[in-house]
Amino acid sequence: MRFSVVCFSKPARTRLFWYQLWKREGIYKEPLPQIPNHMRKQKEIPIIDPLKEEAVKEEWKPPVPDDLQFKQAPTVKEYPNYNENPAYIYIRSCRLTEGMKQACILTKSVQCEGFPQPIQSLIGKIHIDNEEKLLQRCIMQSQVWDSTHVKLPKRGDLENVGFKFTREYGIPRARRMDVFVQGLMRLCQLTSLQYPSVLTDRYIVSDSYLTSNYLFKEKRVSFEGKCKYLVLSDRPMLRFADVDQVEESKEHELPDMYPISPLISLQKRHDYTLQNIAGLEKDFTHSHPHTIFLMNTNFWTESQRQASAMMFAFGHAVASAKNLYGEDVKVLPEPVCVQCVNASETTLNFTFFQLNTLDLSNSDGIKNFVWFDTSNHLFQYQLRQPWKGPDYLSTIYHSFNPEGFHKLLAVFLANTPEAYDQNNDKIEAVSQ
Amino acid sequence: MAASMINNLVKSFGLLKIENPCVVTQRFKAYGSKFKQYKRGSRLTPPTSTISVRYVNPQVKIKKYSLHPVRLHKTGGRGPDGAIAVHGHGGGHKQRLRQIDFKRHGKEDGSTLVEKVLAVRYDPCRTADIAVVACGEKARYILASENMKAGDLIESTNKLSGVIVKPVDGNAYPVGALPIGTIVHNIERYAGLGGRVSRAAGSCGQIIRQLPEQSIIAMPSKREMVISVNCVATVGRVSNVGQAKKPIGSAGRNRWFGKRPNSGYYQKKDGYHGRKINPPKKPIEYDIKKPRGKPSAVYRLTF
Repeated sequence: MRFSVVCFSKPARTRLFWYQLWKREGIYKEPLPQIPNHMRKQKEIPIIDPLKEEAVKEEWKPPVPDDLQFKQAPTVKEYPNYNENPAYIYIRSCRLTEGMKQACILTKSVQCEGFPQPIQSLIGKIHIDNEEKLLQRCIMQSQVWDSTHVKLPKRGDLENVGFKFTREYGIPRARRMDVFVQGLMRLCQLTSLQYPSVLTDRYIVSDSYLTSNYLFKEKRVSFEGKCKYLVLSDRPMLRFADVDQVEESKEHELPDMYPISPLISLQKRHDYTLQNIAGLEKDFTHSHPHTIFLMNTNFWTESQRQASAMMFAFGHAVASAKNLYGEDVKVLPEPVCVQCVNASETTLNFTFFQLNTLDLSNSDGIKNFVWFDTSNHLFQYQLRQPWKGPDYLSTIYHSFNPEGFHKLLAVFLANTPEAYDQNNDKIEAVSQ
Repeated sequence: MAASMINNLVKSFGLLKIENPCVVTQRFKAYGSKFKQYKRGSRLTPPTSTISVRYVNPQVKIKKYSLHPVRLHKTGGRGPDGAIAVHGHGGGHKQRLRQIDFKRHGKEDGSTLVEKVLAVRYDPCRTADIAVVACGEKARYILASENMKAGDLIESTNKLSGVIVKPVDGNAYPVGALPIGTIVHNIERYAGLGGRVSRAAGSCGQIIRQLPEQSIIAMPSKREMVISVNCVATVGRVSNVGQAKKPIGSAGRNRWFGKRPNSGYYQKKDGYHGRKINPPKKPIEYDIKKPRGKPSAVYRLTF
């Protein structure tokens, strides 16, 4: 019953009014079920108690297929490469927290510093004409002379935190690095007059793809990723470490990172493939990986960068070893060796990897080998700091050092027959 | 009345289905007659078991934990109803939320959990520093204690062994296992629900007395509280000690932190000039068995 203004009028004060009103209005009738228009033609409509039963509904299919933007994303099990057992997947953006130490545990390898012996002998013995001038031109081409003009990211300086920089336009970081590495590779190929096998026996692939996998303590670890440039050669790399040196590695103890598992920084996924591709999918005359060129646009530490380079070198070595000696190979009859150049804007880092075993279930037996050579600064630069005075209004390039380029020449010309022949002749001449 | 109406509707169509309709009536009544009483901050808050229909996409994993900071929106001190809940908030630098785990429990089988501190970092959303710790294949953020640094090994347990332990800075134990007088932080009010008390920079509580099933702890405000023996607390002070005494520098810098200007200089009532001093309050007792508040029920509307 609704209370309205009528109830408070004069006749409402009588008892009879309330009696009649309650008789008339004090009834609540349940409303009849409202039947929708499209169901009225049906003769029998079943009425269900929803608390006890569930309504049977027909599936309605739209006459026109739905727009793609409303389509539901597929579940994990509907992916084409779905596997029941998950795998730990290493991609380029996986940052190993412990750096080189963690990478050594994952690949069961002995860590050495500097260059391996056969490549160390080549440093400083290969030269090109007008070396310093060409190298400085290469640096200037990448840093200043390139014609790209793009809006650069906002800048801040730790020396003057509150300073507001005007927005800068110029060459972005990735472009600078790409031009620089291309120039360095071109300079290395200038040696083709003395060493013609640099051009004939080599094949350079850009943005080459890598997939390979192995078992680490009964857990599947897979590699996925691209490297910027991959140099392939027609013959496998000569071994870095001797047979005696490899046998001595049985006594070496791997580092430990208790209580953390070394697989912490890898992705755990169900969709992966079990292929072995290092650069080229089909058989090819030049199918042995020689050197990998990687670039770093991130702000990681040098140890973490070297670790990523090492993992990529290991991945390439595993793929080529499985293609050569079969899927279930444990101790390789001959080791597979891969080099890696890990470039940033100003520096070059070198890693050398020798794969001796693929038996990574235990930490006993023969181990693999890795060599690191870090922080070879070719030059350094200081971005502009206008609050210091007129001399600091533009970027300053300083401390040019061509020593890293000599190392790069030795890496690039490794495994060429002419270089070693010439080297041996010189040694013989000295001894006589 | 409302319930019968809904039931009639339900009967008539045979389509709409609501589980447990008696709760619906409560809710209708509550918001119909007593809506004005349910103010924010008062005790008469609306019951937690109201209807809440959630449209959840099964593809998105809501509970997935990651170290990657999450996007955070500025509230300006406003609550979900749009009214001002906290005064003096607004503006400031953009911040991102780190999902911090306040539960310092052991393993599921009862053994101690040993973790390694990877780094101690700054967090914009709180005054204290936070630490990245890892064990096995899992990493998480926790509150950093005063002397915590990268490379340390820390332990955490939530099981009483009956023996009084020797407290080590940064380790977490149940309160009953600690000796009287130890300084603790990140204290649980109810066992198993995560630390709530003394999480600000430099703050700490102190264990005053141990009873057979309860222990009495002085909070940072010097008021006492009585909690269960099984509640977990971390030994030591919270990191970033002396944060409150550092000068902010300027009024503008205060605005960078998202604080709006306030008037007046706060002075404590110390009884000088005839002001009244109240007697010390009773210790707060938190019930051991049933924690306050119910888990919110979820009702699904189906067609």
